[in-house]
Amino acid sequence: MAGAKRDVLLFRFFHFFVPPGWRLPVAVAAGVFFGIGLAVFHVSGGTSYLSANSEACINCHLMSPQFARWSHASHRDRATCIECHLPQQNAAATWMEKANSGLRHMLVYTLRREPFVIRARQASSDNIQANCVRCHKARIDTTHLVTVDGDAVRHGDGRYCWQCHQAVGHGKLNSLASAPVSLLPADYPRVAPWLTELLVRENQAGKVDR
Amino acid sequence: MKPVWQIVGERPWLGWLLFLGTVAAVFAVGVLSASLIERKREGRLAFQQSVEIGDLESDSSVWGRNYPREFETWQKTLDGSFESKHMGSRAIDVLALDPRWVVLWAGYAFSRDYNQARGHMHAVEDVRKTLRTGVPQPGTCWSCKSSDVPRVMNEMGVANFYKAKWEELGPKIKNPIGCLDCHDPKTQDLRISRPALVEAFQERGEDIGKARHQEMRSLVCAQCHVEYYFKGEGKYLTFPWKKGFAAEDMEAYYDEVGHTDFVHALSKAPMLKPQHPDWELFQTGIHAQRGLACADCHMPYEVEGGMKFSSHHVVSPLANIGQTCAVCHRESEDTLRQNVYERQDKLREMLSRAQDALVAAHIEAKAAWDAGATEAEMTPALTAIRHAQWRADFVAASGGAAFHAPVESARLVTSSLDKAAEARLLLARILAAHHVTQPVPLPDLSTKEKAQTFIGFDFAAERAKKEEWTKTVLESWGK
Repeated sequence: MAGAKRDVLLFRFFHFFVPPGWRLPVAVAAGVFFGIGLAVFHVSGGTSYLSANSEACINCHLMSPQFARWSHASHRDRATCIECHLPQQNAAATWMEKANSGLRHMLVYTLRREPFVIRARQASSDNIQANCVRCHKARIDTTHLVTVDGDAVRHGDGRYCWQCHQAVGHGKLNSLASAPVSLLPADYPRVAPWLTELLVRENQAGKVDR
Repeated sequence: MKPVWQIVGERPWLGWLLFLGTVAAVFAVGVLSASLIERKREGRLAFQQSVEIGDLESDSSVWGRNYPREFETWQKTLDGSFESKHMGSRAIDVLALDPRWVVLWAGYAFSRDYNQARGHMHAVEDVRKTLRTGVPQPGTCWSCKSSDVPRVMNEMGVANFYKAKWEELGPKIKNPIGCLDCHDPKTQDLRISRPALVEAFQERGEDIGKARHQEMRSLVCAQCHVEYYFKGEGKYLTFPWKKGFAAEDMEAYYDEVGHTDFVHALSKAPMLKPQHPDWELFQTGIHAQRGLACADCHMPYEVEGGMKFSSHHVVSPLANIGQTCAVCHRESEDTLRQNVYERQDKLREMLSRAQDALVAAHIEAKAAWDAGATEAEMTPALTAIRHAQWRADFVAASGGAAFHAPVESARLVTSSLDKAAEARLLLARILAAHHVTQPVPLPDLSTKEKAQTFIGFDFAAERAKKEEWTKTVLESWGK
């Protein structure tokens, strides 16, 4: 059959795997498979992970206490989740770590093996420390705290920044229950629906001397 | 290479392998999908409600079964023990503390009885008790006092609610301010439950639906902690914000629509009475400008064990400096407390001078009338008095003014002094024209009793009448 080079390849691929007479059912089945795959991608908020938005982190409700505390802390308008938690020295480092930790989180979450108190792993702490230094370098340069990294901490040559500055990110309360009614920034109606309706009814009825 | 199906034809086990492999893959994807959906749903239902809260549930103790921490801290607003230098949670008789107000509000209900506002849970009790409801009032008075109001408004309609008599609605209003006034019963989202704020925004061509969550943490308070008036025959609760939020803007609006709250009993000046313009003043201060909301200081986060929640004990931030000021300001508690008192002291000093000038102005105006002044002569002076007292009272009526907006408050007080001086200058000339050249003697206003006697108000008799009313009418309203 005539067609673009790519079309012919796909066609031959299909023919290689699928006997005649089976082609329609297989096409349908493949469609089902890819459909579910796309649904999974959509339901998991797959595209959100490609962005830098902090809201992506609360696709999993486990993170809502951290998100809630961060959004009421000093770095709310200054640093998004990934600006602290992912290495920022170059794009490759960022995306590698994003994929690495993201997939690990997904696995833990799906298997329901999340701990009640989520603590940063060593590599993660090192990344966060590097980011503290990255932004605050000018201010800590004179006290040589710029040289404090994970290795230094482990050799007793310093502490992680947040061991003293505890409330800066999302605070010291790390349990899943720490912010039990934390709001997810949904688009909730600001005015009670019955009030909106009531005002519409009053307007229609013709209010007295407004 | 041979097509796969031919290979499989020769080696069927390959076919089975392929089939089972595909089954496993699709199964895994399907299970993953189910897990995702399940966990998302879990996020929405993460909190299981033990009782169903109705859409207009006004009894906060019902909500309290789902949210005990918030409800129990809310109940602490009954506690009247906290005292600060000038305010606190205790019941303070403002007229006894500063009898000059009796004269400044002569001819209006506020000269009968005025107590410093206290805990939210006292709202209904205090409205029933005050002598200001010893004179006929409209149903509008209930608007900000109870979580029963949304239900009753919904039943009667907003305009009818306002038009009704205060006493008529009394039996329907039992619960004090509560959860329903600020929260959605299903999701606990913040939401507006009173029409006046919505309508005020609409009047300004703004959509309150676009407010950010942090703004909502102030706007739910702004449903009530704002300046208002009862418009027209229907006593329709209206916020005078059409021209802006500054005191001068509201004054211009009132002048334009020709609104007067009361005619002063002594000076006959057409007076305006501001009520708690807390939200409007706060917006002008540095804390609001830095993005704080009312709840950040008045409902700070409290930690109980490993759980963190907003304290619903709405109280002076001075009662809890460690959780309020100290979150951002690294000074000692004592220093911070002194910083607040310093601002309050200084504003009170300024305000006191304005009050003295205003008392004198009213009394001099009366003297002018007594000396035979005409309306044409008096009008400019009376207008100046109206504007002067509006500005001083605007600041006085907002308990937190000295802290929320010290600079704006000071500015308004100087403006008030300016206008009072203008009024007195005009009055001095009028008096002179009518052959009164000696200073007008001021009465002894050292106690509330003396002041109320001076304006002709018998507090003891009115209090006795209220006691009677409590035993008869209030009893009939039931529990």
